[in-house]
Amino acid sequence: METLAVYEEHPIGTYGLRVQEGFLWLAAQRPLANWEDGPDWQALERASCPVFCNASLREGRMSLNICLAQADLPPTLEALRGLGFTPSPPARPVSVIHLQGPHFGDRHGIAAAALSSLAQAGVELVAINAVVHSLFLVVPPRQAQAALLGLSQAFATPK
Amino acid sequence: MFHPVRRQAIAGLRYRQGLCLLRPGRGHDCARLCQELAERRINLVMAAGSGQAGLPGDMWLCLPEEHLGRAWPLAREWEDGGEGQPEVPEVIAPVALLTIYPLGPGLSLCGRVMVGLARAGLTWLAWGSSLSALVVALRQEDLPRALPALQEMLELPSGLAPSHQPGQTVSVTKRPRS
Repeated sequence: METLAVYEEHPIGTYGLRVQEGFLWLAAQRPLANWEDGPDWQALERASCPVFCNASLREGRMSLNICLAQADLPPTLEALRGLGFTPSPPARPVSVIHLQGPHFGDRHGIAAAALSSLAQAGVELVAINAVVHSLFLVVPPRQAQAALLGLSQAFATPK
Repeated sequence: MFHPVRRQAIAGLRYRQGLCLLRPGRGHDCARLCQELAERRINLVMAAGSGQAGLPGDMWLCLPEEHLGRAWPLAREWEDGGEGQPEVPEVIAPVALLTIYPLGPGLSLCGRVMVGLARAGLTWLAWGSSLSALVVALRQEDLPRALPALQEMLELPSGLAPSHQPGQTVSVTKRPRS
């Protein structure tokens, strides 16, 4: 099913563009084996609700990435270690930029515009997470303002 | 023998088919690949990536399978380029996406999805969360077994069943300012 929409987009419209400070980026890995039982996986309920998370599976190993508030790190680490996850490297301070806009997830070019504008601004991108209508960009805290400035070249906020 | 599980209440479980999962691999310029895909009007249904330095070095992209023929050559275009030994791109097709909402407490939904699939002998490929939902990629052939397996861990409202989510593509045309 295709919907044709005509946008006058100079730059791409969003519902807002803001940076959130004071978060952590946590990466952890674990072999996939024996996941179905044994470990107290229900401990994940006690982990704090993250800003976002994602995971991938490759060559029998799970790689889990979590963006979370600093205060939520201890219970999350406890839950993950109890499940056999190894945090690596140590959690690093980050800033998070969240974008949402019309038809995000259903139209091409959103992630490309974000990556391109950040690269042009000289910003190190720690992580990107584009799921459903949400686009999260994770950057070093010292580059948060540069990231906002760079993204403002490609994305517009409501007036 | 699996431990009995109290099912987590959810509001919806949708599935979408006809997709593929593309992993350019470390050493590739993922930003450039995304730009090339955008120039060919190929939508990324889902994408995630992270790296230790600079642009995401380990990235995976989910896109409609119908575009794989055009996307795959782009992913391989720099296979032999760059410094060191870039990883060979990887593609899995066909792939289905499951969208489950709301997220619920902590990482509970993530855990239940992974355990539910594992108990059915199934393997997920990748997953990511938005503000309110979890989206899981798995091999499309596993979908018929995955849906009942997840309903052992997740409880839909009475009378609701997993629903098919048709793909939707929005085309964007830039119109010059008048």
